[in-house]
Amino acid sequence: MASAEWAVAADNVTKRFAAVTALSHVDFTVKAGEIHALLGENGAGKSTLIKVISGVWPPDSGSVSIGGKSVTEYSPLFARRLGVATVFQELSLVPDLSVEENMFLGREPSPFPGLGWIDRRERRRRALSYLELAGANVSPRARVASLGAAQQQLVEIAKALSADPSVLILDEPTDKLFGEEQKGLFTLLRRLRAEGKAIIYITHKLEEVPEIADRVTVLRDGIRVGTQPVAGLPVEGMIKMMVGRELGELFPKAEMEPGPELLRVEGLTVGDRLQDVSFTVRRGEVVGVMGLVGAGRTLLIKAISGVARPSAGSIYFDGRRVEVANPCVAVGLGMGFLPEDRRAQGLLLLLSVRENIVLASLRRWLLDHRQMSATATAYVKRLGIRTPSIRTRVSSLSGGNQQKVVLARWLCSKARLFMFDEPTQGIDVGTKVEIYNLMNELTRAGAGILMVSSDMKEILGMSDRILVLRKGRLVSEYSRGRVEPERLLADALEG
Amino acid sequence: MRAERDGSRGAALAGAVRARQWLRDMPWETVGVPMAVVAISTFFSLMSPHFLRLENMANIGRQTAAMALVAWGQTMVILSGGIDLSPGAVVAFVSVVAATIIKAQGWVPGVLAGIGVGVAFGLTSGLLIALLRLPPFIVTLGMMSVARGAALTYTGGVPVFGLESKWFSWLGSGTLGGVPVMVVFALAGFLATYFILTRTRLGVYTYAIGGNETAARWAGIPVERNKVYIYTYAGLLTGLAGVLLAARVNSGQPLLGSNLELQSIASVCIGGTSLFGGRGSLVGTLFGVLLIGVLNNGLNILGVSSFVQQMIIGFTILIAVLVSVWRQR
Repeated sequence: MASAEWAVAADNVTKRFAAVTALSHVDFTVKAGEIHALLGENGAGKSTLIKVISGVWPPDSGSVSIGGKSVTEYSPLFARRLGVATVFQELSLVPDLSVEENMFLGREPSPFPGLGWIDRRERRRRALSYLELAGANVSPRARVASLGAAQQQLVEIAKALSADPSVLILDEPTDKLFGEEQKGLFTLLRRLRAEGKAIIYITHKLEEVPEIADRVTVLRDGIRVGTQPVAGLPVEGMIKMMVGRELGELFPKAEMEPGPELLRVEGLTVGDRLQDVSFTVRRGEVVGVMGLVGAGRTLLIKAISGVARPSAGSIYFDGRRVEVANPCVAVGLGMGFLPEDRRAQGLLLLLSVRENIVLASLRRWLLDHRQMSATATAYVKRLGIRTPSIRTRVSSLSGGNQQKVVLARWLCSKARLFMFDEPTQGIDVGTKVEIYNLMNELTRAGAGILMVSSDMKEILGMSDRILVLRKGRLVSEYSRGRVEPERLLADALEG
Repeated sequence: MRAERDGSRGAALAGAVRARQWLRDMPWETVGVPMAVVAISTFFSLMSPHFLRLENMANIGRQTAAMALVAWGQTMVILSGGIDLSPGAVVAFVSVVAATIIKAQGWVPGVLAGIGVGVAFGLTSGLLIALLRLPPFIVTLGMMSVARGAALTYTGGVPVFGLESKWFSWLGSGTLGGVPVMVVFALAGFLATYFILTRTRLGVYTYAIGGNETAARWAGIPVERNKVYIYTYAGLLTGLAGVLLAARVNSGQPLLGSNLELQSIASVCIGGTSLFGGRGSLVGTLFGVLLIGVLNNGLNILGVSSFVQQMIIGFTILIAVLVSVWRQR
């Protein structure tokens, strides 16, 4: 490939993490003066690819060149020198420093470079001009921690622009930007394109793509599925490329008649972050909870499980009023949890698969190792957990298999109400379907599921009823098939 | 010439890489530390004919037994993500309480009271840590000061002598089938703790809480209650250690047990248990205890001044920690 004509050219890049191949022989090119959308599901390898391009991780094989110069050293500094500026999904600002300090951290303007003397006036001037360019209406003196998520995102973008890059990479920038801010960003990107910059744009909001991008590259399970001009590629086409199958196959929802009420929540309130929330979950039913980040989705689960203390409201489980002081009580009642961050909250990473499975079911103080092994083996088989042995540390399993281990724990403890928080985040498509099938199995056996997810397709595909939270309030409730995605999104956003 | 030099450098480099790989793959707790114990013992037995005598073995056992008992409890505490700084001072308080009561009412109530004091301190630490969510370091630091002060206040700073119980002094200096009674207790404590860690729910919970307290809580483990159990059990072992030490010196000493907590923490560390909790084993601690015991005794026999001994033990701890950190990298 003649790399000179490309602003960015990744050639045959492969990257592995332990047993997981994040990228497999990926070719990827971006022209100067192009906005190139990079699409793919969670775990498809988008973030890995841009981290290789911006020098965070060296590829295991293959090469990258920027502006015709091949990258000889994979470090963020080297990439920056070649003109790459990246706004990562996870923000990189220091909360306790000011906006301007953050923007020029490590490259403060100085009249005598090397002496550590900072030209504050110059820094202020430059900060102001780039903040304006990014459409961020914030003071350079403001402490970053005092800014909202959207403003922080814009500061990140201003920071990237201040390096005057030839290649700008944005990882899901509109995750936190809405309305005017989003429009402003698009205007800016078009202007940068006209100036001949190459822009890589990652998003999961597919409706944005025709509006802003010139070409699209789709990754799936670490493999490049294809690169196409946006013109003439409908959104359904993109989804098909990303998913590799029809939506119906992706969400094998089993229809069934819900049974009696299992959980009833009345007027649940936690300070001003969760206000007067009432709903029920019946046996055999999946209740999906949707809402933006900070709408109180996770807090709802915490309040029901006793991790957060409700200031008002009551909880009924199996028709009885219950006081849940902590998760231990909740588990005793028959609840099971798949917390949002399975590595930090769901799993005991240092323990084996076996211990993780039986952990919530140790009824007696004396352990019966033979019984534990038999139980664990049975669940490993039943859920198809791919592990070398039940004695293997759970930390060495893949994300999907780890999630199955957490599920196995609650199957083992005979839980009847399952609370899933982002159950399939960072899990490959194949395993996702397996987890959905397990959900069907649970509901068929009479369990109820309360599922929080920011994946709208998942909510629509798997829920019998959908609750929408906005700013800590329950704003609407829909039955399966009675609501369009646009309506849900509007409910979550308006206010 | 140059190629040759490069070649030998390459070989040396490969050797270093291999050595490092070997160190990393070697089960440190069960092979590395015992090898160090054997090496040090060999060195001492070459330097002094007294070292390997049965009599001296018994001596090492007596000198190490109390510290060993404390170290078993310390292992559980550290595995659960905590730390206990109080045992040294608690041992002193236990010894003066036990001694006083033995003088007044006989050895059985005295021994029971001593163990009771240990349990009470452990229980108090556990309750403060679990229920008020105070950091273990600070709580046990406070308890250390309280216990030492209590021992000094209770006795006016003067040792309690004049214990005339044969049975009590037998605990400290007697033997059972040729094995010192103190060692018998230390081994019993080892077996009991090993049983708890590997065969009971409390053992699994200890590893779980130390590995990730948040995840343990989400799994429905009663974290607070189990922490109280852990510190109380450690207190029980500390009480027993205090009684045995008092028996050995046949008196109550308000300044007994200084450095006991540090030596026990060092043993746990040398044995490869992570100070962050969740990772490690009691068998590792056993070898850590042996290493420190053999080192103390051997240096004594060689007539190394106790000042220098402290430095040598310090360096040993540093090297052990260095190796274990290096291995995990």
